Amino acid sequence: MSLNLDFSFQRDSFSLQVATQIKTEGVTGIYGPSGCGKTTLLKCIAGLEPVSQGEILFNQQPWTKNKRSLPIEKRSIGFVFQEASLFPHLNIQQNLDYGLSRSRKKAQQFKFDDVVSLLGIGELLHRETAFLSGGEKQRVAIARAILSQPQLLLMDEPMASLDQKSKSEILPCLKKLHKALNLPVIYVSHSAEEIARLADELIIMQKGRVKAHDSLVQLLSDISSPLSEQDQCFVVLDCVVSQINKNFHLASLAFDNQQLKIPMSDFKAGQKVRVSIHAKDVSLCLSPPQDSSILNILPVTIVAMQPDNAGQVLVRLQAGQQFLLARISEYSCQQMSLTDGLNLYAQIKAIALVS
Amino acid sequence: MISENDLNALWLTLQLAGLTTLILVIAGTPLAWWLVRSRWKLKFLIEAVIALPLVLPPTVLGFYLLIALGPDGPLGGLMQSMGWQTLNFTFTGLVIGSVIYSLPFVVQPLQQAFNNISQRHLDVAATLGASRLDQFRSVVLPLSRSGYLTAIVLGFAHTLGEFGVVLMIGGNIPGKTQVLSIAIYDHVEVLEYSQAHWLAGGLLAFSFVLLLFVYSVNRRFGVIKV
Repeated sequence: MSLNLDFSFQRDSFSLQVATQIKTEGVTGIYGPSGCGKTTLLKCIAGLEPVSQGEILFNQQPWTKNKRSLPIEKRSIGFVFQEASLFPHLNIQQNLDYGLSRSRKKAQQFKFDDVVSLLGIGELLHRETAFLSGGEKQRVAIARAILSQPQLLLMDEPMASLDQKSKSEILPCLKKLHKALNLPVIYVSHSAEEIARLADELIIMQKGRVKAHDSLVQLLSDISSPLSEQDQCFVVLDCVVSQINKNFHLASLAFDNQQLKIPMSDFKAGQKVRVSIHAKDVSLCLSPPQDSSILNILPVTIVAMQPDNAGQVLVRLQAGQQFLLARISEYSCQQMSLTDGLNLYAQIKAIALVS
Repeated sequence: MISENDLNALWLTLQLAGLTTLILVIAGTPLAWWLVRSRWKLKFLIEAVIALPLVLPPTVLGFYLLIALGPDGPLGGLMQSMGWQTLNFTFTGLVIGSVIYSLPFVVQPLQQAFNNISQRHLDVAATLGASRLDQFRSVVLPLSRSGYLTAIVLGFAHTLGEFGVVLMIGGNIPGKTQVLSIAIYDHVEVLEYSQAHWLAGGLLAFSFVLLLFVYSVNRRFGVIKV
C-alpha cells in the first residue's frame, strides 16, 4: 500500500520535481522552508494543482497518468487547509454532513459520533461557524475531512494560523486520531516541533526537490540534513516506559538496552513514549562521570561530526540503534581529540516529552 | 381612475419585466461565472460591451436594435428569409430589447457575488466529494443569495421603467407593445394628469418598496454571512 509519486510541476519560474514512494500508513511529514514547494506537492497529490508531467499512483490506482487526471472529488482524499474554511452558510452539523453525505464508500469506516468525540466538538454541532474560535474551527474542518471517508488525509500546515493555546488543544487530538482511526496522513509543516510530535516518516523538501526521505528518527539526527542547520536542532527517541519510581517522581524509559529517567507524568509501565533531546542540551565526557548531578548519562559512539564554521561542531552519536546530536565547541572537540568511532559518554541535561 | 387601457399597459409591463428578468438570471449566471473565472486576455472587451447599456442613451440602443431587427437588418433579414415575421413592433422584440438593455443590471451584481466566493471553499467542496455542478449548487448559489436578490430586483425594476428602447422597437401599440412608462407619457401629452398620477405614483411607490425590501433583506443576509 503506497502512494507513488513521479512527476513534475511547473509554474512561472518555480519547478517542482518529485520521485518518491510514500507508505500509506502512519504519518508522513513533509518539512521544508516556505517556498520549497511542500504545499504545492500536497496540492498536486490532491489534484488541486495540475501536474505538468509524470504520474501519481495511489495503491496502484492512477490519479494522474499520461496527462489524464482523476477529478479531485473522485480521489479518496481528505484535505485540511491552513485556514479551516468552513462553509459560512452552513452550521457546524451541516458542515460535517457535507462531506459525510457525499462520501464515496457505502460502509462508513469513520463513524460520525466517534470522530466528533475524538475531536471534542460535540458541543458545537448546532452553532454557527462565525461564533467559533480558530482552534474550534480547525477541529471541525479536520472532522469534516475525515467524515468524507478518505483513504488518505492530507494536511497543509493545519496549525500555522493558530495561537499557542489552540495548537496545544489540537496536537493531542491529531495524535489520538491517527492511532484510533488507522488513517494514513501526509502532514505538511515548517515547524520541526510539530513534525517531531506527529510524524513517523519524514520528507525534507528544498527548492522544489525532495532532499531526503527516511524515518523521522534517522533524519532528525542526520547532521547533513537541513533540519540540523537550525539552532534548535534536536533528535527524537522512541522509548517504552519500563519503571516508575514514585518516591523520586521519576519514570525510567528504555530503548535498545539503554535507560533514560524523566520526571514522572501519568505514565503506565509498557506505554510507548517519544521524547526529544536538543543538541545544545547534550555534552560529552571521555570517562563516565561519577560525581555529576545529571541524571542521564549514556554510553555512545561518535558516528559523524560537522563543524559549522562558527566555532561549534555538531556531533552525531549512536546509542543502541538510535541517535543523539550534541552541539559542542570546536575548542573542546580538539582538546578531547574527538574522532569518528570514539566511544564516550553523553550527558543529557534536558529531555522533553513530545507524546 | 385607471382605464382598461392602462391596466393592459400595467399587465404588459409586468410580463415584460418578469420574462426579461427570468431570461437574464438564467443566461446571466453562466456569463457572470465565466467573467469571474476566465483568464482570457480579451475578457475586458466583453465586460465593456455588457456595460454599454449603462452609459448609452436608450434611444441609441433602441435605434440600432430597430435597424438590426427590421426587414433590412441582419437579424430581421435572416428571420424573413426563414419565413418568420420580423420582430419589430412585437412583444418578442420588446423582450430582446429589454434583455440587452437590462443585462448589466443583472450580470454585474452576480459577477460581484461570484467574485466574493473564495476558491478555497470550492477546493474544500471538491475534496469533500462535490463535482463542479454540485459545488455550484451547494456552495456558490447559497453564498450568492444576496447577489441574486439584487440582480433580480435591479433587472426587474430597471425593465419596469424602460422607455426609450421600448418606444424605438416596440412603438406604442396599446395592448401589444404599450408599456406603463409610455402610457404615462401619453396621458401627459394630452394633459390627463390625474391618470398620469395614478400610474406614475404607483410605479414610484412600487419601485421604492421593492428597493426597501432588497436593502433590508441584504442587511440580514450580511449578518448571517459574517
